[in-house]
Amino acid sequence: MEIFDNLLMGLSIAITPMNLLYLLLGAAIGMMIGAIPGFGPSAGIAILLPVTFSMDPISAVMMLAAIYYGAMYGGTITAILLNTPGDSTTVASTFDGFPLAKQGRAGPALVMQACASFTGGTIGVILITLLAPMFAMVTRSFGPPEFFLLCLMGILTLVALMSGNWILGLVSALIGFALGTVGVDLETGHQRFTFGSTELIGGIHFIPVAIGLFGIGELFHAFYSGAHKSGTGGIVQYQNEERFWPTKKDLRESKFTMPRNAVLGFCIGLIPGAGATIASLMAYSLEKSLSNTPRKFGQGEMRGLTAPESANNAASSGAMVPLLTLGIPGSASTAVLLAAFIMWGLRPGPLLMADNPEFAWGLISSMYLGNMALLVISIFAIPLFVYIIKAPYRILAPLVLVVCVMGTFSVNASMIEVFIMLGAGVIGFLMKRFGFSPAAVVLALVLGPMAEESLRQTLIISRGSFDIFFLRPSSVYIMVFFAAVILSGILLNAYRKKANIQGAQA
Amino acid sequence: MRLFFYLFILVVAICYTYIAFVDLTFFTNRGRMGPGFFPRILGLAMVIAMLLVILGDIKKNTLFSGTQDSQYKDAAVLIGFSLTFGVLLMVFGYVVAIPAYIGATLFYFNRGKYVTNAVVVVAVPVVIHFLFGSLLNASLPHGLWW
Repeated sequence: MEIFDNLLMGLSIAITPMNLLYLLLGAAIGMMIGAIPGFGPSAGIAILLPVTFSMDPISAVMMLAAIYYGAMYGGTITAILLNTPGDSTTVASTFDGFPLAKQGRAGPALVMQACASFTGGTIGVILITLLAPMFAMVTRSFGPPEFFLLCLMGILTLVALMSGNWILGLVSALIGFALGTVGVDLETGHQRFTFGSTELIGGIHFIPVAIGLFGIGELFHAFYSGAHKSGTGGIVQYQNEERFWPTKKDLRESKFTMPRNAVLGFCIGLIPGAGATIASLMAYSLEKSLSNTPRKFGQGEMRGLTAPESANNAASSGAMVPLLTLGIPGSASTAVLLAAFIMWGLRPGPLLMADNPEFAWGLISSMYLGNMALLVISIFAIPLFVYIIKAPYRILAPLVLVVCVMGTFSVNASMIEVFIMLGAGVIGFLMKRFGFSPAAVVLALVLGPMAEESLRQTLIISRGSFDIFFLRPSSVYIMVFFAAVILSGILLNAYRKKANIQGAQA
Repeated sequence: MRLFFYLFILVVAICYTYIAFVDLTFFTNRGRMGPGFFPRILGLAMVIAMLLVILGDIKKNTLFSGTQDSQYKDAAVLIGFSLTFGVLLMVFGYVVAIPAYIGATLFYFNRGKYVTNAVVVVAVPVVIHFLFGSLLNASLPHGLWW
């Protein structure tokens, strides 16, 4: 009953005209950003974070969260129409989405993906509503040893689940941790790696690095891969379609596909480091294995589109649970969201729901409204998004770069941060080019100082002994849980490779 | 290019580790974690991991692949324009730097579309001024001479 009271309280906050306006704006911007190939939710939130400075904190965080899950909706549009996933989370949607578009069924495919995203997102938010308070209650008993382990395990899971070379993932994480050590050591007051610069005493700020790695790095990489030359106008598989709406058969076939993969996606999203990409690929494999006609998958099967879509949206909701209840981001996008929360003076963690209920429940309630808004936007604004993805990249790229630069400068009026951002952009491009993980850098940059602080507190409590990690039951449970997750990472990667091969064959 | 990037990371990791060992102490006087505790562990791990990466690539013969890649040209041009934009912004401010950057980029990558390019060159600084300067009341870089 308490949950419903809290939810109503949250709705009363979310439903004010200004908050609704920002929510709709965030959802629409998120969809547009998702529709631009290469730009994921992390880039979108990072780029637009400075724009929210003049807003009320709750409105700002609602808008940023709407950009986050709006980008998950938008990423599929290019996957269906161009066979180019907007983000890695929509790779699985190309397997059947693009064949559907080639068959002249782009309209029904886009409507069904919107329905699947809505189902996944809404089931995900319902599960957040039910589970987040329970998680918060359990994690209230966590101390510094558990927080240190969660920080460490979160990043190790991301590294272990990387599809490519895991050592490159480890190097990326170490680079992020190392960047987090720049600045004054809070325990001793000693300056570390500042080289006498007053600008670096406070450490390397997260925002320029995130904007550089995700926003600028993606732009440079797109130019490297030639996206600016081709344009997209010639290969968009969409005309003003007469048979726009899905058939009854489409709806009937997907009626169980969407909810079951939403639950699967949510559970995977809960695990720090696992994320929506793995959730969508697993959902595709699961749906194919449950189907009586697996051969149709890869040739334009509607369930092959709705399963990953439902799962990746639910996973993005699942990733909000560790963020809200532990203050630990499970993905690059939630790491950027965490930075936004901290910037607004909110400290996500076990006490957030007790100390700031209006914020926590306002955000959760706004996600219900946001998903409804996105369903409507993503169905009725399809021609607009088709127009956006037809815009030549060579014109779009310099505009995005200018917005990134101005946004970074506006945070602290610092040109050093602009150069840090541009440098991070070049590094991000080369990292992407050679198989490193910019997401691991960003996640480690956020988690590094938290890990160091909690390890320091742990060693003070234990008088310098590491035995404390084996003496506290909750620490042992966390280690066992993550050992299982990391071991299962090998299986998940096998799933991913199998699904990729099947997609390529299709 | 891959080799240069790997070597760059390795050199940075070695310098980071060197500073962590020379300038920062492992423990404080009270025997607690010192400022160098984390950096020393991180630095050593980074150097070892990078050496493993390089050795692995030597084994697989992939270390020198892609060095003749002509695709870098456009990315390098955009990077060059962007870094110059940063310098122009610092010296002359956004009023000069934005049109110069957008104009140069579109002139190079969007040749022949004079009207479109001119409209974008004029419109972007105006939109940026109103969005950041007026609507959001945010700081804008005015350069050294403002």
